[in-house]
Amino acid sequence: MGNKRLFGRRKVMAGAAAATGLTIWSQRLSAQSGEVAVGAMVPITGPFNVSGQQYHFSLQMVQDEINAKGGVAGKKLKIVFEDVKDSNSVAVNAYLKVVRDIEPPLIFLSSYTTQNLATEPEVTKAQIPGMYAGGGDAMHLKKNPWLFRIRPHDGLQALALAKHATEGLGKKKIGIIYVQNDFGQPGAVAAEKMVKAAGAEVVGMEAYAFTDNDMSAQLQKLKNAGADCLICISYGKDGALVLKLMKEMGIDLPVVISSGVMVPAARNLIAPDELAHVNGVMDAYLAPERGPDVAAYIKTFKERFKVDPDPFGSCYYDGAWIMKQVMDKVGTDRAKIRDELKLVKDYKGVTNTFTTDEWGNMVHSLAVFSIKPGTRDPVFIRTITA
Amino acid sequence: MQQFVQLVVSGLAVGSVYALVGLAFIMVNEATGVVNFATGQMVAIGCFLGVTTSLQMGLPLAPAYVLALAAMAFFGVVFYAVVFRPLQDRPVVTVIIGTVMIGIVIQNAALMTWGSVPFRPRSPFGRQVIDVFGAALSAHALFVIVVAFLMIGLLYLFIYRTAIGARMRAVAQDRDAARLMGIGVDRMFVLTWIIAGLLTGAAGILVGPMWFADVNMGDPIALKAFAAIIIGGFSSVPGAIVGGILVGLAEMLGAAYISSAYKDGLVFLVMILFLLVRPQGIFGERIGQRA
Amino acid sequence: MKARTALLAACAVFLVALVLPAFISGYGIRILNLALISAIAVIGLNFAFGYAGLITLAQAGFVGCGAYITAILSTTLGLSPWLSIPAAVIGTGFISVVIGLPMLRLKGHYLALATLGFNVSFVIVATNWKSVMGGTDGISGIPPLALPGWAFATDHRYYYVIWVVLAAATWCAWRIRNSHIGLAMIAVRDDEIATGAASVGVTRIKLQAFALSAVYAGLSGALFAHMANFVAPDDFNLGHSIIYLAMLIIGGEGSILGSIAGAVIVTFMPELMRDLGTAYMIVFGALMLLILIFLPKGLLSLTGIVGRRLKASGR
Repeated sequence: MGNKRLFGRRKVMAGAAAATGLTIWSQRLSAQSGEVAVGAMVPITGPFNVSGQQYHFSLQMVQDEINAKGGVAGKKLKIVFEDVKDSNSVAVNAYLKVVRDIEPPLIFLSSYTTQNLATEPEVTKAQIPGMYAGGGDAMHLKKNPWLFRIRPHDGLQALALAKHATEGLGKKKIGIIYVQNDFGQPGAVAAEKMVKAAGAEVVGMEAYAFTDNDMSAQLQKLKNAGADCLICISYGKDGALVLKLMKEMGIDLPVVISSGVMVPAARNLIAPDELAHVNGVMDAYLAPERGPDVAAYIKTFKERFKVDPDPFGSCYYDGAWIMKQVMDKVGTDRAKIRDELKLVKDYKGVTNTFTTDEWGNMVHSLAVFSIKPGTRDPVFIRTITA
Repeated sequence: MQQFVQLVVSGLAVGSVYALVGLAFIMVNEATGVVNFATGQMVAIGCFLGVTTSLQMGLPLAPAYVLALAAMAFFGVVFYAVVFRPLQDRPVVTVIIGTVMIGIVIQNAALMTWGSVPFRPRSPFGRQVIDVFGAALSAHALFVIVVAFLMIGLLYLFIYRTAIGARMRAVAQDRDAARLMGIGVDRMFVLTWIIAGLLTGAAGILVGPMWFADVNMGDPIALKAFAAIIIGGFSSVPGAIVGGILVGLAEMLGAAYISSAYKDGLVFLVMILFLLVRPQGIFGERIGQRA
Repeated sequence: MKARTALLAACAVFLVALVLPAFISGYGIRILNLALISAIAVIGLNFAFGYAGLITLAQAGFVGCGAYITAILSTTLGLSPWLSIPAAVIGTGFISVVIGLPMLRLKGHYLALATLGFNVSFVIVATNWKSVMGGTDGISGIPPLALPGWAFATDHRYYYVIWVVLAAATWCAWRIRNSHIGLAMIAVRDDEIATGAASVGVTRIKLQAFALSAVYAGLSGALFAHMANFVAPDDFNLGHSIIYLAMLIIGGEGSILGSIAGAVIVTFMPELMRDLGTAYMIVFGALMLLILIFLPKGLLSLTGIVGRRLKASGR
C-alpha cells in the first residue's frame, strides 16, 4: 500500500536524463572572435519595461553608431541584451548568464536600484566593470570599485528639488509628498534636511504606495498644514495622478516635482493646465537648443523608434560612447577598463557632463525647468550642481 | 470638516470600484466554486479595450463603451472555455493555479498589445469637478459611483427576480440537483462568466479616466476587492457593496488619520481580523463545510 | 532485491550530484541552486497542502521570515551564519504557530485568503519598517556561510551545502510521511470530520503540518539569504507563494520527489525560454496551464510513478 521507497528505477533515470540535459544546456557559448560582446541588463518584459524600453532603444542605436565609427578597440561591437523583468533574482540570473555566455569586458546593469543591489555582489565576484543607472544612494555607498553610475543619484535630485523650492522659488512652508520606497523615502528625508538647512519649514511629509491611485488624503493633509509649496518625489504615472488630483481638488500650490513625470511616457498622462504651477528637476535637459549633438541624437532616436528619447534611457547612450573611448585607449582588459573609467573627466555627453568621483558617480548636476504655459513643454531655468 | 467630506467621497468612489470587482469575483465563485485570481487582469483588459475603442479607434464614448463591454462578454466566454471547462472537475487549488497562469498570459499579452506606456482615457464628463459639501469630487468619480450602484442593482434584480437568475442560483446551490432538474448547467456557467466579464470590464472602463490605463493596474485593485468581499460577506451581493465601501473608506480615512504609508496594511489587517473573528463577513451566512 | 535497487539508486544520485558542478557554469549552478532551495520550501508546502490539504498562500512569507531573520542577525548583530540560520528556522516556526493558531480554524478559500493577507502584510511591513528590515533597499552584505578559513562564497561551493541540506530535509520528510504524524495529516485531508470523530486533535494536526511547512520555508529562505547575500521585500511577495503552489501541483502534490521535480522545472523553465523574448512569459503561463489540464497528477506521473495518491473527495 503506497510507495514507501523514495527512489525507483524510473525516477533515477529521469533524474539522470535531467542532469545530462542540464550539463549540455549549461555549456558555454563561445564568443565570436573579431567582435567585442558587451552585456546589457534591460527590463524587456514586465512593468519596468516602460523605462527599460528606452535604453533598449538607445543601446541598439549606439551600437550601430559606434560600429559606423570603427567599433571598439578596432573590433565590431555587439551588445547582448538579457531580460531582467521586475525581479531581483531574475536580474542576477541574467547577469550570470551574460557572464557565462560571452565573458564580456563590460556589462550595463539596469536602472533599478534593487536589481543593482542584488547584482552587486556578483559584479565583485566576476570582476567585470559595469555601468548602472539605479539612483539609490545605497549603491554608491558600497564603493564597489567596478561600478560606475551614469546618471545623478537620488540624493542629488532631492537636493535639487529642495534647493529650487526654497532658494529658487523662495517658498518657506514646504510640504513633501513621496512614493513609499527606496527612491521616494530617502529622497524625502534628504529633501527635508535641505529645506531646513535653507531656513524654511517642512510642514508635512506624506507617503503613498507605488500602486496607489488616490492620494487625495495625503494632499489634503499637506494643504491643511499650510504648505505654500509642494515637493513631489514620484515616478511617472503616480506623479501624473498627483498633479491631476491637485487640479481636481483645487490645490493651487506650486509643485517642484522629480523627473519621472516629465518623461515622454508620462507626459501624455497630464493635461497642460495640470502643469500650470509645476517646476521640476530632470536628470538631463534633452532639447535641441542644448547643441547640435543633442539635436542630432534626439532626431535620429525619434526617427528610428518613433518615440521621444528620455534622459533615463539616454544616459546609456553616453555610457556606451564613454566605453568606446576607454576601450579604444586600453583595449578589453577588464581591470584596465575599470582603472580608465575612474579617470573620466569632463566628458560631454548628450545628457550630461561626466566626471568620475570616488564613489563611482559620474554625473553631478541636474536641470531645473518650468513649463511653458498652456503646453507640456519644459522651459529650462538653470543647472544645479552638487 | 471639509477634509472629512473629501475623504468620504473619495472613499465612496474607490469603494464602488472594489464592490464591482468583488461582485465579479463572488459571481464566479458562487456558481462554480472557483476563486478567479485573474480577476485583476480582466479589469485591466476591460480598461484597455475602452482605450482601444475610444482613443485608438476614435469612436464616440457611448458606442466605444458598448463595444468594449461586448468584447469583455466575449472574453468571459473564452475564459470559460479555455480555463474553466478543462479544469472543471479538478480540485479547487488546481483551478486557482490555472487562473493565476492565465492571468500571467493575459497580462503579458496585454503588454505586447498595448505596450508599457500608460494611457489616460477620456471621461464622458471630461475633467469637470463638482462641489459636494465643500469637497471637490470629480464628476467622473460621481459617475463611477452611480454606474457601479446601477449595475449592482441590475445584477441583483437579474439574479433574484428573473427565471434565469433562479436557475443560476440553483446551479450555485447544488450543481447535481440542478442538472437533475433539467437546468442546463453548462449554459449557466457560460452566463456566469459572461457576467463576470461584464462586471470586470465595466470596472476597468470606469476606472480608466480616474486611475489611468496601465498593464499592471489589475492586481492591486483585485487584492482590495478580495478584502472587500471578505469583510462584506463572501457570498453576498449587499456584502460586496458594503465591503467595498468600507475598504474604500478605510483606505482614505486610514491614510489621513492613521498612517499614509501603512494604509494598505491596515486594510489587510481588518480583513484578517474579520477572517478570524467573523469569517462570513458582515452579511454572509454562517459558512458551511466549504473545503 | 528492492532494498538493493534503492541503495544503488541512491548511490547513483549521490555520485551525479557530487560531480555535476564541474560541468556547469556559474549561471547554470545559480539556477540549480535556486531550484534546490525552492525545492526545500516546496517539500514543506507539501506537508501543509499535499498531506493536510491546507490551502496556504503564506509560504513565500515564511521563506521571507527565514531570510530576513538570518539577514538581520548576521549583519546587524554580526552573528555567525551557523547560528543565525537555525535561529531563522526556529523563529519562522514560532511565527507560524502564532499566526496558525487563530488562522487554522478557517477552511478552504477562507484559509487561502487569510494566508494571502499574511503574505501581503509581510511585504508591507518589510517595505515600510526601514530601520530593521531595510525597506525596499533590503538588506545587503549578508555574509556567506563559512568554515574557519574557507567560505562557501561561490555558487559552486554553496551547491554542496544546499545538497546536503536538501538530502537531509528530504529524508526527514520521508520519515515523517511514514510516521503517525504524516498519516494523521493525510487523514485530515481525506476526511476531516471522520478524523475529528476519531478524537484525534484536528487543529493540532493542522498546526503541525503548518508549522512544518513554515520550518522548511524558513530554512529555504535562510539558505537563499546566504547565497544571494541580499534580501528585499519583493523576493517574497504573493506571486512567489503562488509559484510555490504551482511547483507542488505541477511536480505532483502529495509526493516528496514531486515537490523537488516541480521546483526544478518551474525554476528552469523561464530561464530556458529566455530566447523567446517578449513572448516567453506568455508561453510559460500557457505551458503551465496545459500541464495543469493534461497532467493532473503532476509531471512526475510521466515517469509512471504512483506517488502517495491522495484522492480528496468532494473538493
